[in-house]
Amino acid sequence: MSRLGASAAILLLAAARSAAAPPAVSTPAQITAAAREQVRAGCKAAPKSCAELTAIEAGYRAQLAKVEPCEADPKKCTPELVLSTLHAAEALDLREEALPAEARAAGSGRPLLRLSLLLSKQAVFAYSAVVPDAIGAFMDASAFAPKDVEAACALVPMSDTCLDARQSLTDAQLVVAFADICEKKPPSAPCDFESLEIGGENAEAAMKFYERASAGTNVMMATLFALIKAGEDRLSLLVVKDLKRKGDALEFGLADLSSRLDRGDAVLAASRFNALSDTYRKASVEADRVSSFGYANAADADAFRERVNASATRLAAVRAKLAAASADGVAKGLAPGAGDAGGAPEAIPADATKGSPRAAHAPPPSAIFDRRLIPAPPPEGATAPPIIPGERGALELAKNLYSDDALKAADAHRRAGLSYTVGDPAGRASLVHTQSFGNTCAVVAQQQVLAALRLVPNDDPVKTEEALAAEAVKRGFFKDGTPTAYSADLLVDRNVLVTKRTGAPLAELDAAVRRGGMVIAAVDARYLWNSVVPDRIGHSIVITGAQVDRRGGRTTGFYINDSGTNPPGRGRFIPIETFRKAWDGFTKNYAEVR
Amino acid sequence: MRKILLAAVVAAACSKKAPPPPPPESPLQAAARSASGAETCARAIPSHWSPSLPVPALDGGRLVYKMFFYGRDGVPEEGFTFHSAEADATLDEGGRVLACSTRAGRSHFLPKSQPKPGVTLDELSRREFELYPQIQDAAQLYAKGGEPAPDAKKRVAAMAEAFAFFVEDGHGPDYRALSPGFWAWVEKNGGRAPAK
Repeated sequence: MSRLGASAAILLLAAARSAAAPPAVSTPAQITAAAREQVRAGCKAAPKSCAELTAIEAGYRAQLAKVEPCEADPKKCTPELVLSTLHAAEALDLREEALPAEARAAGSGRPLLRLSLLLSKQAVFAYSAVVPDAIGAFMDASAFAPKDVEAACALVPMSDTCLDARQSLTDAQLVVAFADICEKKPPSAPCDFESLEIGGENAEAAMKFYERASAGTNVMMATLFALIKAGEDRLSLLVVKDLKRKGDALEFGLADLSSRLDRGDAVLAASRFNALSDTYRKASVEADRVSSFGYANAADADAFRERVNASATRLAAVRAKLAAASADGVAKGLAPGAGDAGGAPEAIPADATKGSPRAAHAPPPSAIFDRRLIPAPPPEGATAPPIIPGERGALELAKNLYSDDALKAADAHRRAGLSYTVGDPAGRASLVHTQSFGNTCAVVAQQQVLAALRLVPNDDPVKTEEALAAEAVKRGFFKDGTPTAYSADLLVDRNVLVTKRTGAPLAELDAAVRRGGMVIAAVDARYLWNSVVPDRIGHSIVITGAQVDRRGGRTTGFYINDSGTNPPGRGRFIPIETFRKAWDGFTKNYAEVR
Repeated sequence: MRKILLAAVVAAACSKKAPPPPPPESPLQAAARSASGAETCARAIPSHWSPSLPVPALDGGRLVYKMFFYGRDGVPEEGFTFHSAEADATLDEGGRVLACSTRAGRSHFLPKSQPKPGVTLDELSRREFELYPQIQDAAQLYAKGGEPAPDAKKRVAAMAEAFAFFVEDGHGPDYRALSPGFWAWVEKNGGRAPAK
């Protein structure tokens, strides 16, 4: 059965989500012809083995003739026929392995071995035609992948192709072994996400080496490819289970927390909150990592990110209740936490730079409840820096209301009281400075949020920027810049509640901004800077507020803090149609601080 | 009187219609634009890096698109100096990222980027939007193989000209290296490849 089981993995070529199709191979006619040639050559080189060699080759061809018609006309075959073919082929393999080296034609790629693999493939296709639902049971390519690799190495011995194939096999076997271990673990003690991530990296390496090896040989290493895909599939399932577990833990924890708060048990709720926000932090990091796994199902990753985002929203609501409870909480036994209003922001601790992206960050300072993580609510009657500085007369104002220049029109509307400001552009304007390096825009964006929350000092913003960049490098969030998967992770790492989205429409971003918090957004900055170059210019900015038309409620523009210019944009107004172009021109990803 | 005038102007201003939405971009254009944030690229590619245009290529007989990413130095006030290719991605025909990786070794600076004379950002955007169907058309012809018909050759040449508009000085070798076979085919069929 093992031969069928291993060979059936070849069918994953047709059905699997494929990162790379196996390379083009010799046709069956060429493989059969090469095998016949090997018999002739082998008989000359090893006359004593000639009879055996001839019989083996004839045996493979006879089995091939039995199964070849099955795929086109399944009625001609039965499952028993196909299985007996494979059993016969297994026996022939053993006889082939027993041949002396000169008869096996090891130096010319072992054509009989390739004929054997062709037979496996045809038998599996035949079986799937005869018993369409059965193949799912045969997922183990472990037995035959080494043969594939051996065949490739026989063709090009001592070559990079051979080395790559062997490395791919080693990595694939590691993945399978790891999946074996994790699948056997009880639900109470599953493999942690960091281990699964390492497994995923091994799978990516296996595929990379496989692709390189495939380019160097026309041996169809089908079972190696299938082994890698099978490993990826199993890892993917384990990751999905882990995501579900974390999502369930978050939602259950939130329900429990809410009910405790409703019962007035604020002290216990506060300690549960801290633990739950730590679960949220880990889940948010995982949501980012998973979305960037090539083998993970995109729908599962997106669904998990949505659960994490929803949890962040609910945690923020619970936090507000806790804050209200603890405001007069001394009487209820709930001591004010460290960093209450008026407390000094902490320096960036020296040991915050330790650890890999997978290691947990140090938890917030001891407090029943860290109030610093609660963003200040936007002020009533928020104000913003001038859209266009200077005074305006009434007639000019009236004229500008009707202007085609969006800035003039927005300025006039605001001055005339026809629109209002949401968020806190004026209050947040001083948070930004011109970034010191070309690649630290995302770091400086996060710095502004951390400074607003008084989680980092900002009296020397360049020094803080450098420290945060160094921290991001050591935590794995930064290499020549901040990859999208790690955007806002300096915030998440500190248990700041953040909802993140990629590929979001402008309407969704608008809704986030209208909630009044700070939003970090990735844009094509050509439209902000009027840089007329053909290259899209990726840049992270902080949206600090919006201007909304009183009549109709339409957003007329956003206020942004922009670290990319000198002087920096401090609450600079961008008309909505200009912002739309900047938004639509890039990855459409944002992070909203809750 | 002033108030009546103001009210009339406000009414007129508020009745201005919003501009029509832009036409939808193709899946390939959407994918190329956002590739740095997608799947395996999201961990590897710094979010501020610029994406190149995608170039058709054949991978084991299957049509794919290859592109690269590159960083920059400079400030908006003084103009930018872009880097040579620093990372690569492969997309399938539907725009899904198949592979993404950063390049080992050091990149180099290109000559300082110059703004396109007499061109607005909206014009650039329009040209890019029109280029994508041309790239996809050429890709299909390339993948099909054989000698294209005369009108198809004209389309290939037009695509190459439109493509060249977007190639920064110094990125020619990077574009050629993405798919040497494709560019050789373009040159054979009346178009020009990016400068070496």
